[in-house]
Amino acid sequence: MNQNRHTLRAFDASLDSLRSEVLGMGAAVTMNLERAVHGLLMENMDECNSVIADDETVDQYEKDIDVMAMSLMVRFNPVATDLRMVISSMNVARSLERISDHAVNIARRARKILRAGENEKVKMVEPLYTMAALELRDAITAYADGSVERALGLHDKDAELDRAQKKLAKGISKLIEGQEGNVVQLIHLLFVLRSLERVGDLAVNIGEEVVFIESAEDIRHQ
Amino acid sequence: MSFVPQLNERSMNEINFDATPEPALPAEIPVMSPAKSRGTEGKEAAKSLIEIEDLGFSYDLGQTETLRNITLSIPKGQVTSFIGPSGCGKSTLLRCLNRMNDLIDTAKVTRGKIKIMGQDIHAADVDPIELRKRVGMVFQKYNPFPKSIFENAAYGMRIQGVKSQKVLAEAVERALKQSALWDEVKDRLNSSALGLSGGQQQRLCIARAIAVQPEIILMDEPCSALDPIATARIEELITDLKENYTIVIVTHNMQQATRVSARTAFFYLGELIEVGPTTKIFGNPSKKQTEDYVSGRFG
Repeated sequence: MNQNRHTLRAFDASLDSLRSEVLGMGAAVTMNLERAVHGLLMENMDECNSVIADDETVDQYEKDIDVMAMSLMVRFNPVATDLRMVISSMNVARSLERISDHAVNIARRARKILRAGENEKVKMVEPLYTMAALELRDAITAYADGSVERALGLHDKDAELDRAQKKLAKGISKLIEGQEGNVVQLIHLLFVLRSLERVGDLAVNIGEEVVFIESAEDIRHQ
Repeated sequence: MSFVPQLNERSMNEINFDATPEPALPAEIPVMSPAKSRGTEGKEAAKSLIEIEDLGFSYDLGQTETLRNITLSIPKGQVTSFIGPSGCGKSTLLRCLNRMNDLIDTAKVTRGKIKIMGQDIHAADVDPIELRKRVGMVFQKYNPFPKSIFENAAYGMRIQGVKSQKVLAEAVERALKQSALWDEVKDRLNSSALGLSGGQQQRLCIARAIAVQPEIILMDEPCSALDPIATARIEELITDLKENYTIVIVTHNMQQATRVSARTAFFYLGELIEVGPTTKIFGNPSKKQTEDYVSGRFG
């Protein structure tokens, strides 16, 4: 991140506002994901409902960020790091919005699982969630700090998350094949695990944007 | 249970620009591998037409150097922009390319060479007048002569001794067409050039420069006195002219540099800081000084 200030203070103020808005969105998305999983684990239907309702807030964040970024491009014609910052901030917002969609998916699946009664297998979601939440936190922190090192570290963390998700999904699939327990609940659980795995992928995407902002290197699809 | 990550505080401390001097630069900055770049790749380097080698220049007989250690290749058939803050030496270097600075008694090239198509332009056998026929120039303020449109466009030809009205008429028509002015003035070629709009007068000056069929056109802030529409016409014209001419343009308008030029050179305090494809200079410059200048963090 180029830390020298612009001659035009309004340019700096606009960039700072954009960055703050993305970080605000990141906090809202993190909270949504946390409440979705918390609702499932604590059997709290109200919490699941609020996640679904609050997704609108995240959608609005995404739209606001697009408007801010477009206005910034029109007013200040950013180039170099500034241009990458603006474009990648929009891409980060896109990834965050999709993470929030996965939080909503988890909340919807959680409601269905909870309605079908208790199932101790839901506890296996917790370690996977912890890994996904850590990835998301690292991605947002990397964006905030402009840390390429932290952003690049997400690939290894995500590989670990993928392995854990596959292992858990395999275990649940075996239960389903053996008709052990409530099959419908287990299928919903499989989708919850899948959503958490996707959260990890999207966190990696955010990390890739951070690398692009800071070094202009495009490491997507490598 | 609380999984909400704690975000680190961002440090936005200012860095003292002067405290981080950059090492000496190579003349050419390597282009990023396309596989690793997103919109920052540049055009392949074309054949060089102008070679500037370790040039030093002084306005006061060598007491102080206005230009230092300039080494730069300018490719044929492309538009190259010179950018940099006022006083950085970009216009001085431009005027060195056709020895316009020779007109100043105390001006002197202190070291180095400028070669055009391999020929040293300061060699004893080079006539500056002949050089300026090959290297035309368009100035910041349009400066048509108080003559007719035809006579302005024909001026260079007449100086060269062309007397045939047919040859002159053909050259004037060609130059006015190339400068995208023909359709606007073909019915009033004998009218005064001073009756044209500012943008038309500047295009007439470009026509005057290209009527003698130079190889290189130097432009010193050619649009700084024009409105956006006239500026767009000149920029369109520059894009068309690069098919036949090598163009070097000095501009303070960085959006203009990004629109018209394939390569951009950034100067600061009499030194060439960085040169490369325009998309790289404005997308991902290698030097912090360049980044600070193009992104408006300078001074």
